[in-house]
Amino acid sequence: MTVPGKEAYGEIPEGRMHSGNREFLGDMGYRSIIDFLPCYVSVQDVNLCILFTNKSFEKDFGTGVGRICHEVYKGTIERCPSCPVQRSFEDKRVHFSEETTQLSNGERADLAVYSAPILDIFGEVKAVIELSGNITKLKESQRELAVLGQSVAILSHDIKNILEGLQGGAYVVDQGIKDGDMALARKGWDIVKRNIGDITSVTRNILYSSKKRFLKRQNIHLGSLIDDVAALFSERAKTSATVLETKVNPSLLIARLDPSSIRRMLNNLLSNALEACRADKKKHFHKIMVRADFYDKKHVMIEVEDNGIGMTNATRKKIFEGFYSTKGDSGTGLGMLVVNSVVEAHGGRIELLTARGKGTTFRIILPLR
Amino acid sequence: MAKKVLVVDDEMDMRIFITTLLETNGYKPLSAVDGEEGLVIARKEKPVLVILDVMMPKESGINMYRQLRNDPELKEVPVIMLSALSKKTFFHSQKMLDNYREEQIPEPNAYIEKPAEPEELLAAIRKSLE
Repeated sequence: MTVPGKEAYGEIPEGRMHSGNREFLGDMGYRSIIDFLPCYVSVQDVNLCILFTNKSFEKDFGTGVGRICHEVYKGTIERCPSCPVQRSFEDKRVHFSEETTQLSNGERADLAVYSAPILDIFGEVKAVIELSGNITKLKESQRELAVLGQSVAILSHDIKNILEGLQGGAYVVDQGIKDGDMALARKGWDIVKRNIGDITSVTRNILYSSKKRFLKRQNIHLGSLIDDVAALFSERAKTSATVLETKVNPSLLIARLDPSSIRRMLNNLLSNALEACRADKKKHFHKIMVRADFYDKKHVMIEVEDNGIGMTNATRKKIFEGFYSTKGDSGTGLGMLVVNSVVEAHGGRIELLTARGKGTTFRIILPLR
Repeated sequence: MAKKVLVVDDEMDMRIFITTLLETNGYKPLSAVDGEEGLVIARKEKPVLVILDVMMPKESGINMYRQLRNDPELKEVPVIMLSALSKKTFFHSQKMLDNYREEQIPEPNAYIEKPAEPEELLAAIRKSLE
């Protein structure tokens, strides 16, 4: 392996250096500046063999000199389709691309890659210098922004639907009163109440997922909390012909959990279970079972089981991503995100058992204290 | 005899609202929970008007609309589309489907974005039946 001499890289002869620069650099020379640049610098030949790297490069990718670019950056024997270095060799211009690489510690990193040709005295491309900045953080926030944009659209769609329900319900109430038909007024009032419930739930989910929250652990009686939440859903279950049962181990007395977030979590799980039953038109009998019991000496287990429509594989993979919803008109997709963050905050985990057409069971396992 | 109007919406709240609106204004409402059921009822009952939600599970409103328009007995029945989807998105999807399936489906008689005012919906119903 021959490393080209100083002049090949176009190093500025000392004589032509600005006197201020010379004073600052002293004995360090340009090399040390290149070494400390907060980006990866490499020089490559036409076969993409690395001739030179700076210290930042070595720190994150190990020794590069003598190896092939894509082998070091990506661990692959194939050239990147978007390789900017090759293009700089071809047209002597600066090129740019975005690449995803793996650092030597195994972490993934997104890089913004610039390439520039180094010309010899005949104007031929002698080598190409590649400069890559780590833009992983930037890419992450870009992805978050994309999710946010999507979510605003879904949210406004949901809110429109709830408004429609409120307006429609109010109309039905009005008609009932006008005609002295109390049964009709009652029907309308139920619609209004249901939609108030929906908008409350949507709002709480937005608040929950948009704030960094700290748990307020208290000694709570899980059984009564579960019964409370189930009672809130009994009306809705009845109107969609679904049986809602709870079964709590009576010796499960006190657990140290944050009651308001556990409530939020159960709310979302039950709401999803009810939707899953409603969406399933094949079975005539629907049932939701909420169980709570010891998982082991140190953990409690809460299960929400339904015999509703079940999930497809694709859905199962996506449910914990924010704003993913299969429900179109009646879901923001925030629910499972909230469930996930509640469980995570408590140091617990979620198990999911689901089969399309058969039903779904969510099992939440939480430490007792 | 009161004129039959078919309401197709998967949301129970919406069905109650629109059927009440129809009933109290002298129509005879029929209702269906999805496009599949909607088509069966439409073929059997021959309503004078169909009010159709766009996004529903199983057979969507978009598909049901196209099937209505391709049915020799039902293609003249006026249809009001009702949805939280914006009008622009809906018409765009219709155009794409027209190109894709090489069909020329006429636009619905009215397209109302949710939330719809009762008066607005009523006006659209009366206009479609003129």
